Formats: sequence, structure tokens, C-alpha cells
Amino acid sequence: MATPSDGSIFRRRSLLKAAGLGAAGAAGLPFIAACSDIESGSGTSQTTDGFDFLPEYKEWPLPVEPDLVGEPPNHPSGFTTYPEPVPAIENLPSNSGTFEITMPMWGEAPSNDDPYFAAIAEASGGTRVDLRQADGMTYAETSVQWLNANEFGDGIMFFAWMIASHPNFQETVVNTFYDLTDIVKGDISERWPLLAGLPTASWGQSVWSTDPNDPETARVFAIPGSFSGGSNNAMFARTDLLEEKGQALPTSVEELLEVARAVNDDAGGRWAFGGTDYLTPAWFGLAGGDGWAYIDGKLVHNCERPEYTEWLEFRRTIWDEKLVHPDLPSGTLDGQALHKAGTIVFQLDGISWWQGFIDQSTAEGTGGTIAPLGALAAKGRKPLVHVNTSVDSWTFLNKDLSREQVEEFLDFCNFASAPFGTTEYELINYGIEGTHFTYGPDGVPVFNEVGTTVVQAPVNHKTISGHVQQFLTGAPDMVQARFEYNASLLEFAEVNIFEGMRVEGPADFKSAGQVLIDQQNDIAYGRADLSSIPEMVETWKANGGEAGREHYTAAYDKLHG
Amino acid sequence: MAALQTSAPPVPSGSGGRTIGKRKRKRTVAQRFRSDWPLLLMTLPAMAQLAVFFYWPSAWNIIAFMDYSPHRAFWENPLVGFAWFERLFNNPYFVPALLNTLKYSFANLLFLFPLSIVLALVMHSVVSTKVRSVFQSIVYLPYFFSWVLVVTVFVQTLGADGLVSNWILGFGGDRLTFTSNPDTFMFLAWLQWAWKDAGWGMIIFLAALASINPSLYEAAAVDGASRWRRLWHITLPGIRPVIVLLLILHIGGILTVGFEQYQLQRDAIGYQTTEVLDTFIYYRSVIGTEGASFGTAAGLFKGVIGLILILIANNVAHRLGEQGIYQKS
Amino acid sequence: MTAIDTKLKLKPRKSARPVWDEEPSWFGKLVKALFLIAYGAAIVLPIWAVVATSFASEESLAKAGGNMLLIPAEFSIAAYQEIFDGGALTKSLLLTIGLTAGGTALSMVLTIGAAYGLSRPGSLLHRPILMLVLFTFLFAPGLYPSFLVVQKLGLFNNYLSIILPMALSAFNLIVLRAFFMNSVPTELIDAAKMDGAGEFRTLFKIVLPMSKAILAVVALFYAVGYWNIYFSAVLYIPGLETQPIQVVLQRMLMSTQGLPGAAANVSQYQSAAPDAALKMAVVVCTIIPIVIMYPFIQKHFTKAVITGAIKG
Repeated sequence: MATPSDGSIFRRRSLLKAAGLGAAGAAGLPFIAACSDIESGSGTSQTTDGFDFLPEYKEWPLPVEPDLVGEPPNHPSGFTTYPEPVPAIENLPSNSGTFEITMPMWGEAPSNDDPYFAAIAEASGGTRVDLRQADGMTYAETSVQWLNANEFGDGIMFFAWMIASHPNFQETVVNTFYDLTDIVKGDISERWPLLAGLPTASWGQSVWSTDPNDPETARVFAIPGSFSGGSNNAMFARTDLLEEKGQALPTSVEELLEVARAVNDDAGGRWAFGGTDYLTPAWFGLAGGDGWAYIDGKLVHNCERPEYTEWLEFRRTIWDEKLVHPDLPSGTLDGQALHKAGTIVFQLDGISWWQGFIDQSTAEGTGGTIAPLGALAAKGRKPLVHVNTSVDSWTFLNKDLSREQVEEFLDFCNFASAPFGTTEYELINYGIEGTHFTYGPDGVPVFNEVGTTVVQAPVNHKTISGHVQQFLTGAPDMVQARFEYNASLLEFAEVNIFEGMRVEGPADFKSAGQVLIDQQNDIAYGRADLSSIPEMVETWKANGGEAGREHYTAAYDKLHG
Repeated sequence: MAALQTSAPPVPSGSGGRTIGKRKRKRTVAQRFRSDWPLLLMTLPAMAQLAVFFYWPSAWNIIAFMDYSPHRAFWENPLVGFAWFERLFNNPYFVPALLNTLKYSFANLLFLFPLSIVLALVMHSVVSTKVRSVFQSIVYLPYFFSWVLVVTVFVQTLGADGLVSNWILGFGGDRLTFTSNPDTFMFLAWLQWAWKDAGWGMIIFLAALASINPSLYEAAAVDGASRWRRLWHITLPGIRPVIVLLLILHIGGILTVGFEQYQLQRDAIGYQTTEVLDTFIYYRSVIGTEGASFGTAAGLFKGVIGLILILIANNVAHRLGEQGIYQKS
Repeated sequence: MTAIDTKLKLKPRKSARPVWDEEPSWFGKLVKALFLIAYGAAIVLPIWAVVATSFASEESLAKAGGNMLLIPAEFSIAAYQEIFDGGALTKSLLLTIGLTAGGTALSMVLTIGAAYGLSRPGSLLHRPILMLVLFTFLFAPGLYPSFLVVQKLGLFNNYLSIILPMALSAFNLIVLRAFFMNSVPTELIDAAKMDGAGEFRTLFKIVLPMSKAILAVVALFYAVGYWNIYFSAVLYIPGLETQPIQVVLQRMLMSTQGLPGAAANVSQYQSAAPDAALKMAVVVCTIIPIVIMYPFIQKHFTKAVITGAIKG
């Protein structure tokens, strides 16, 4: 139809020509040039101890001794009383610089205009650190682009688990961030006594090598965050609901199943479990970290072990018996809300949920009590608790800063490293008295409304650099309970076999691992059978598993000689 | 819409002003510039926008042929030819993702289009303006909901612990499980499309329906044509150009299915069912470990396939006597 | 038809059915009614649940375990008070309104200029320029390159970085161009030229006033795009305190979503999820402008889209 009038300029030949031109433009050049192989994404490994260029450790004497003394970092000490805070820094520097640090934020970010931030600047000696608070949900991924384009302000903070989202993080670090080695090397206790009081291991974990194959090129590239250990996660039980059914806290996986069956009521809308994907592998003796265990002289991955089948069998059993909230796979459930409402009896969560449950259920009037399960194991084996004694986070500085600026920022970090019991800590963690908090009857600071929104944010100046020591603090009952809980786990603690080294697996290994997680879920939610495990493992081996074993074995040999 | 057809208005048989203009148009570039510069000036801002935000970044697609690292100077990145494409095609999860993409794309095409058209026809035949305006002002709303919200709403209503499940349970039935059942995901996807997008599609087709000259219906009715015959001989031919045009555009984007719908339901349904090209790129390259070049290669592959498909579809349209998106030469 | 005719026809309005159309059978009517009611209910009920939940009190939600409610046990407008208390949410709403208004204005300038500039086939460089526009249908430049351009222009963490890259839609440009070419009578333009009017004058005095409806629709398309800005904000303006409303909403909705892998690590840094009422109240706020715009769409959509584009 329509005989083309002369206005019909857009003829097919023209379009093809245009498209062809575009394609040729994209493809032509590479054809001409000689081609080489892809080298990126083959993985790295970095030892994190035995360096001679780290800050010299000088113990920083605590102003107040904790009431409960544990074995840090896996069993931190605690305060059941609130001590009168004392200043940590005697000779306050006089600075005037301004820094902008990018960091993740979950929830609503407070305004940088609040007096809280001005007070911190003043107390630190005049350095103002503005926070660029980006959405924590997408932070790990979007930060890849910011780093590539050098758009992260004067520095950026990463939690340790986030770097897994960065392809070739080692390359990024050595090309993008300030090399702190010459500044922090040796005795720094004169100018930065608190930084010198950070554990040597946490400085060691802040080392990357400019050439990953040459150990001589190792340098310090970050200010370490707090050095923590122990287990951060727990399975919480609604003890009031257990009591209703005459059940006690289970102490083994088998008992847990019994209790779960007793409290479960599918038709009535009450389920034993929500998520069970993390923490539970330890109940079956599986390894933490990247999943490698050293068995009979070689590295064996979790998925190759018989316990792996047991673990998936457990997850499948609770699904088949309808002990799991049926909408769990949808990923839309608000597990904490369901736990408060009693819809879910066992909630897998961060340890802070213990206190969170109490606060929220009291405020909302829903009531109920919870307690974490201790270390569990199946088939009468000895329980196992993965402890991760490592740096929680790092702050990296922009390589375009001047040496003076970096030194000033370290002044600020020195200030931010002041531990519990100091006025510095009180200011950063509770804000200004009267404006953000008031002292309660027992002398413990209590946030007011402004404090809750501005200061209580879990990530801000308090995570810029590590505390000299981490303590359990807060409500005395909770401190006591958590202290005892940690003590009960201690005898089962098992450290990662790669402690002392940071290994970045090859791209294929990581991507095979991603597929494995997808397939685990298929089994756990009844979409695939347990009998498919051997095939799964074969696929895993062929598509990156064996390459991973090679890489990790080399790293293991390097680490353990 | 036919929008894209770029022919001059169908001014009856070419004796209008413009053809004359053409004959006179043996002018030098300078002369043409003197008369046309205001037009060029008006186009300039838009062209600048395209150059900066489309063509400049598009040129970067060249990194699909490099082992690219942002930390090297651009020309120091080694060229690797088609190595990334090879890696892409050799990836065991690529072909399943491609097949899934095609599956959902065609399912969407075969389901959503007819549904939108039927809705529009039914709506068009409703005489009461009150019913029409109330209905219309509601059904298109979900189009503006984000997928997170849509998925949440679906789980809350049709999930195993959703409103409907608990209602069925009250009558002694079983819980619904299809929000987490891979075997019925296609049905779930249909429901989601019907809920989210069909109303918006309806509005577009309604607009097309309203453009049909009512006197055609009247004449046909007077000639004794029944309701169904009028539908067949007047209504459908009347909206055919719009249908064809939208179809062609859809086919060009056939490798681009809504990313979020699949990504958000990946855990619920399982990756084997929900892995499409866009989620594949996301999990391997954007948040995965394969780096920028891999993702760019995959994007380039999508673009080229889309281009080829659009050309084929347009060709078929021409053979069927339709205009398509560009003029046949 | 003259005005008098129309009036006469409208007066005895028992039924709007034209005289030539036969009355459908009762069965046909029933089927149609049932179909519409079922479809309508399926759409409305979930929307109703969203609205009802947004008005539910904290206690009644806590009892429901954070689920949505069809009938709130207790009525509360606390969620809306929180949105409009002048805090972050209020700022976010105002920002989004500003971005939408500014972005739409810019887009309209670009689009009108280019559409008119390209509406005269045979003018200088007409064909190559049009080709450049149409090519954009076939490609997407990709995440990293787009980011790089924004960064090189110094627009990172600048609200312009979310407006400029999406300021021109080739689709809207082509729709508007087709309207200018097909529906503005050539005679009028020629007459204006005879009178010595330049292109700019012709555009403003003749073409634009005749194209109000289509302009409204194109503006609406742009406005919806700006209103729904999400991903580019996450990528380009992470450091700005006030974020577009969709980003805020997505954060709220996602905070209860499962986080693959990172779940174990994040929970200790995550503040408590906002309650369902607040989330749903924000959803309602993002939808309201679209509801308000509907009568406007209804009025112009049909007229404009058809005359301009579809009819061709």
C-alpha cells in the first residue's frame, strides 16, 4: 500500500546501511588488530600476616575495666554498668579540613546538618567528616561503577562481605586508593596512640599487593574497622510459644525437629521456620567461608561431602512437612514482623535481634519472649560454630589526597577508635546530652526521638575506623545474657582454614558457586530432588569447582607451607 | 504510533505544494542552508542530547572486544576479538536463559495483546459513559506500580498464606502453592501481566478504536450487517495498523523482557524457570564476577538480534500489505 | 454536525446507544457484565488492600504480622502524618515534583524543536538527522559507558544527571513529528510563510496552538517517566540527601525482601523495617498524581494519539 511519496526518506536500504555502519564501527577495529586472550578474573590470594611495615602494636590502656571479662575477640568482654566516661585523647590536634566519605546506609539517612556532626567535628580537633550515605541495598553493586570512575569523595567504606561483588577488587584497590604504608609504618603511638592500639591482625587484613604474584609489593591500603569475632547470627526461638506446648529449647538438630513439629500448625497459620539458608550448614559440620575444608591432605568443598546431603535433607524435610512458612521462597516476607506476631516460631537473624525483639514487642504491645538456640549438631556429633575473627569493614582513602590530608584523616580515625568508657565514644555513639539522649535512672544513656533518628543509625562515624576493643554494652540483663551465650559457644568455635589470608576465587568458581546456591534452593523448596546432588556437584566441578580447588590449594599451600 | 511511518501526509496524488518544492529544489547547499537554518537550529538541542547521552556511550560498546579494565588507559586494553562472545555462548547457562527469554516474550505477545484488545472491544461496546469512565480510571493504575509492589501484592493475595488461601482453607480446601511453583509459573506470569499491563494496553487500543469513523458503522448497520460482522469488517481492520506496529516494536525488543519480574521471583520459583537474558547479565556481570566486557558483549548480542528481528518483522508486515515502521523502498 | 444537532441528540438521553445499533441479547450483556466485574474486582481489591493498610494502626498491623489488611481494625492516619511532617519523605515528594516539572519542560523544548525541525522532508540534512534519531531504537549503550559519560561531564551527584540522559525519547519525538507533518494543514504553514513569518513564528503562532492535545499527551509520557525515576538515581546520585520518591519507596519495600547471600551480614546494620502502613502510604502517594491526571489523559489521549499518530 501507499506509494511512497517523495517524503518517505526512510527506506529500508538506508536503515540497513545505518545499522551496518554501526555494526562495522563496533566490530571493524578489533578484526584488524591482533587478538590476545582474556586474562582478567583469574583470582588472587593475599597473605595478611607476617609483614614488617605495619604499625607497631602498643597496647592502649583501657580507662575503665569491663565488668565481665571474656576472651576477645570471639568472646568479647562486657559492661553491665555505665562508667563515668573519661577523655581518651589528651593532646587534641587542631585541624580544619573537610572530608567526604561514602558509606552504606540502610533505612533513612539523617541530615549532615544536625548538631551531632558539628559536635563530632569540634571534639575531634576540627576535622569535619561529611557522610555521603548511599543506599545499602544496592551499595555493593553500584559502588563498582563509582570506583571505576573515581567518584566516591575522599574515601569510601566497605563492609568485608561487600568486596565479593567487585570483580578484580585487588586491581581496584591498588589503582584507586591511597597507599598508607609510609605513613602508618612503625611506631605511630606518638601521634595516633589509639590506632597503634588496634590489633596487628586488623592492620594485616588491610594489606593488598600491587602485583598479586609478588609478595614484596604488599602495601597497607585501608584503615581497618573493628576487629570482631564470634558468631553474629543465631536461631531465635519464641520461648513463650514453646512453653505453651510444653517444649524446652532444643539442644540438637533432632530435638529441634521434634519441637518444630510440636509447635507447628499449618492450618492455623503458625509455622516453625522462616529462612534456614545460613548458619544451618554449621549444624552439620560444614565449613564456613568459601566452603573449603582440609580433609585427608586435600581441599574438599562442602558440596562434595556427605554432610552436605544431610543438610539439604534437613531443609527439604522441614519443607515437605510444612514446617516452613509456605511463602518463604517468595522473599517478600518480613521475618521479624512474623516472629513478633508468632507466625514464625524460629527466626534466623543477626544477634542484635535479641534486643530488637524486646524493644519492638514492648513498644507495640505484642509481647512474647525469645532466646537463641545454642550450638546444635546432628547425629550426636560435636557441634561446630564458625567464628570469623576478622575486620568488619575498611575505610579506603582516595589516592588524590595529599599526605597532609591523609594524616589529618588519621587524626580523626584515632579519635573515632576510642572505645566504650570514653567521652569520645559517648559522643559518637549517643550524641549530645540533652539534644540526643538523657541519662536514665541507672546512668545509662537513653536516646530521645532526635537521637533515635540521627545517632542510632548503625553505620556512621562509629564505623569509620575500628575501636581499640569491642565490648558488649547496653541493657545489663542483655549484656549478661549475651556474655553467657558467647561463653557457651566458645568451646565449639572453629576458625576458617584460610585465616591469615584473603583469597579471591577465580570468576568461574564464583559463578559456579552462585549456581550451586540456586540449586540448593531448588532442593530445599521441593523443586528438585535430593538425588540430583551428584549431578549438581559434577556440573559444579566442571564449570569452576576444579579451577577453584586448584586456586585455593595453591593459596592453602602458600599459607601453611 | 504509525508515528514511525515517515511518509508525507497522504495528500491526494502528489500535485500538492511539496512535490513542486522538490522540482525547484536544485539548490546549492549554501542556498538550502540559508532557508533551512532555523529548522537545523531547532533540531540542535535534541541532537546534542543524543550525541552526548546516546552516541558517546554507545561507542563504548567496543569494550566487548577488549579485555577491558578501567584502570588502564583505554588504548592499553588488549583486544581479544570475539573471545567474550565465545565465553558467552559457551556458558552453560546462556542458552537456557536465551530460550526462557524467547518463551516469555512470545507468551506475553500471544497473551497480553489479545487480552488488551478484547478488553478494549468490550469497553468500547459498553454504552454507559459512567461505567466506562469508572472502569477505565481504575484498570490502568497497576501499570504504574513497581514490580516489587506487584510481587508483594500477589504473595499477599494469592500466596500460600495469602487472603485467597486462607479463604479456601476456611472451606476445608488446601493452600494455593502456585506463587512458588515453577511448573505453573507461566500462569502466574500471565496473571501478573493481566493485572499490571492489560489495562494500559486497553487504553491504547481504545484510543485506536475511537478513531474509527462512526459513520462506517452506521452505514454497515443500515446495510444490515450484524454486530459480529461489523466487528470483523470494520473494527478489526480499523485497528490493524496499530496492532501491527506495536507487534513489530515488540518483536524488536523480544530479548528484553521485564527484568525485575524475573529477578524478584527467582528465589520463589527457582533460577531454571526465571533465568532470562537480563537476569543472566545481571548475575554474571553487573553484580557477578565476569566484568564489564562480558556484560557489554551480551548487550551487543541482544542489540544485534533485536535489529535483525525488527527487519524481518517489518518485511513480513510489508508482504501483508502493512506500513510497518519504515517505508518500503 | 452542527451544535444544534448535537444538543438535540443528547437531550432525550435515556440511552447513549446510537439509533442504528441493535440492543444486545440479555445473555451477551450478562457475560459482558460478569467479565467486567470480575476483572475490575481483581484489579481493585489489591489496590484497596494497599489503601486500607496505609490507614491501619500500628497495633492492628503488628497482630497481622506485617501482612496487608482488607479492613483495618483500627483507623489511623499516623503514616500520612509521618509523610507530610516536613521530614525526609516530604522533601523527597517535593523533589520528585520538581524533577518531574523541570525535566518535562526541558524534554518538551527538545522534542518540539526536533519534531518541528524534522517535519519538513527535503530540508537540509533532514535524512541523516532522522536516521540518527531512529537508530536509538535499536540499541542501549550499557551501564558502565553511560555512567562514565555522566561522570566525565561532572554531573555525578547532581540532579541534572538523572534528567539529562533521559531528556529525549525518540518515540515521543517521532509521534510529535508525525502529528506536525500529518495533521497541521500545509496550507496554513504556507500562508504564514507568505505573510513573511519565520519558522519560529510559524511554530509558535500556528503549529503549537493546533497541537495542544498531542503536546499534552507527550508531556504526560515524559512526566510519568520522570515521576518513576529509580535506577539512575541509585547509580548517579547516591550522595545526595534527598532522593526521588521511588528510591525511598523501593528502599522501604526491599528492606523486608530476602537478600541473597548478604542477609546474614546486613541484618546487624539494618534499622527496623518501616511498618507496613508507612510503606503503603508512600505507595498511595506515588499513585495519587497519576489518578489525578487520569481525567486529563482521558480527555486528550484519544484525540491526540489518534489524530496525530495512529491515523497517520
